[in-house]
Amino acid sequence: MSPDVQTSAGTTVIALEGELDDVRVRGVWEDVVGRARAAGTGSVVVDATKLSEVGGTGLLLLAEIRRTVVWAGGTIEMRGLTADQASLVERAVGHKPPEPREEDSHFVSDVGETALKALDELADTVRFIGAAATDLVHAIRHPRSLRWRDLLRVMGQSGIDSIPVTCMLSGIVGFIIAYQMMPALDRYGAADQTPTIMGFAIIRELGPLITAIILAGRSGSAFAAEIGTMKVTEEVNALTTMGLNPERFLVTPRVLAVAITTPLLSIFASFAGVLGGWLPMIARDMSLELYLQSVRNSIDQVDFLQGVFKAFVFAIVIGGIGCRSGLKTQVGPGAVGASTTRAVVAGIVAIIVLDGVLVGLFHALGI
Amino acid sequence: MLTTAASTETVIEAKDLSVGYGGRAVLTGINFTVASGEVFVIGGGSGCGKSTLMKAMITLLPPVAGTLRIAGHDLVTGGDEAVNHVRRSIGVMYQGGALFGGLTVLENVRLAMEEQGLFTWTEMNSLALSLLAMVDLDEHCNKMPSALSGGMQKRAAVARAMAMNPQIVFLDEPSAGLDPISSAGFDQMVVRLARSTGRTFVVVTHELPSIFTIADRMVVLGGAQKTQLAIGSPKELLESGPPDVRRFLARQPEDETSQGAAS
Repeated sequence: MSPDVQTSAGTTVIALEGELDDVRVRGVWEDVVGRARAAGTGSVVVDATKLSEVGGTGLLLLAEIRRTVVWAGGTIEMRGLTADQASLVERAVGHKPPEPREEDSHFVSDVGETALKALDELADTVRFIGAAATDLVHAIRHPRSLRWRDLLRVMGQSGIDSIPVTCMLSGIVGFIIAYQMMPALDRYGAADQTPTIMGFAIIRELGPLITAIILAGRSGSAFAAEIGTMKVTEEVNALTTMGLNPERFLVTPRVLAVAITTPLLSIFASFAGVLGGWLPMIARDMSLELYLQSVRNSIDQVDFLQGVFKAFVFAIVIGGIGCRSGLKTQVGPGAVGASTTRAVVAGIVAIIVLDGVLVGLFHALGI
Repeated sequence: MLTTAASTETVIEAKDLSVGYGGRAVLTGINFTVASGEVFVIGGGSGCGKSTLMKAMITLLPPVAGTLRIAGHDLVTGGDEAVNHVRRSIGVMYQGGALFGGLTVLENVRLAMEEQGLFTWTEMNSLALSLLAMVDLDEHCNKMPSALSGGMQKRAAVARAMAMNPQIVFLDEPSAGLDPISSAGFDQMVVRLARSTGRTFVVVTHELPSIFTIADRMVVLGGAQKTQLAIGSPKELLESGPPDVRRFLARQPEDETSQGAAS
């Protein structure tokens, strides 16, 4: 049944009858609230004396009528409600929420702000990695200050546990490169140069790079998650108030561990990559001895050390980024996940950019 | 309530203190002193700034203005030197315990001693075990924190907070998450430790049974402007404190028509 609405002398009387259940409320909501809104700053009387039953949704309708009238500056009288119902409806008026603030955004300024934030972040990361490297030197000079148990644990996790996956991926990449390269080299009758190219590509570039990418995925993320959780559970605060430096306590053993294991892991990865590159050569009847001899002849100690040096630098950067992401963890349920993602993405981007920089640097130095 | 008389030496002094985040004050007008050996409670409803005040007192948050002198060092004007001095004078039990998950209970208590390097290995073990015995956890010393109940973790955290023989021990919401029996046991332990060691305890809590059991004096924070509402013993405040404070201590909900009192 539709509500009876009458307006006279600036007063709108809304009379409701029968049962105000969910179905009825849905049917009359727009009409009744619209009439209340139309009353503007006038006075509204809601007559509920003939209502047989008011369900939860019915009370919400009465609250909406009251809110609409009061916020418009009008006056309202509710008749026929019990004291409890009247009190509940009265409370529902609450406070008018503030108008949503219009975002003062502009494409150009947004891009500028994002770029400035990214630069700040970059500068902060570089500072953090610099401080971590300084702490590393301090730890090497004062081995007693180091937490050896943490160091050995992380070395096991980031080094020994990573050997199978790193060697497998590097071997497959070596195989793919050699396999794809051979037809192209065949066109120039230079297929026998495959070991030379493999030596350069794997030992100078791909071995360290693949190792670093796996390091970012396994250890960088683990550092961020571990330290991030410690931040959330106030363990980092506990270290601070105990007078212990969280950076030195948490970061140094982790960065030192990966700085030791990653170059070694990179040597394993390079060897596996080179071996992977031999597999397509079996079809050309090239023996393993001859293949390895050709690889050996194509590179010298400097090439080998360049790869090891790159792996060392990548390790410090990934370890530093992982730990920093953990220490920057905010509060909230998704905070640790966000830190972990940031550590992996920033780590991978950083090592690829850094690899480009190192290639240019080595070229400029004539190495 | 703790009956031992506290000494007259002041170990904490807050004067016209404002604390907040990023240089913006969220709690202002704080004035109190804490005497050595006292059990002092910082109380008030949820969101009244208790934890913010404690963070400033334990050097995790720089005070915005005024004076905050802890163990003789002003954290407002003293810079890093004062911060380092204060950290050597305090021990903190965090709300969830914040024990290091990779270390056993004994190692957690021993950690700060190891880093300081003043004691031999045997001495450190002995000291750590004694501290754990004081909180009835010596039998569990070789367990990992994850193997302990919430209440036990908090007691282990108290032992760790006392490891460096601090002048002042801060406890953040010690009753949070504990059942009433464990909570009462924890309160008794705090009273026992305060009596036997003579250390100052500063406890942040809104648990009324705890407040009436342990507090020599308390400061109540709250109000729409977030400030200090009253200071005194809980009994005095319940009897003759400002209306908002009396209502808080008597566990009476806010008057429906008033806003923002003691919360």
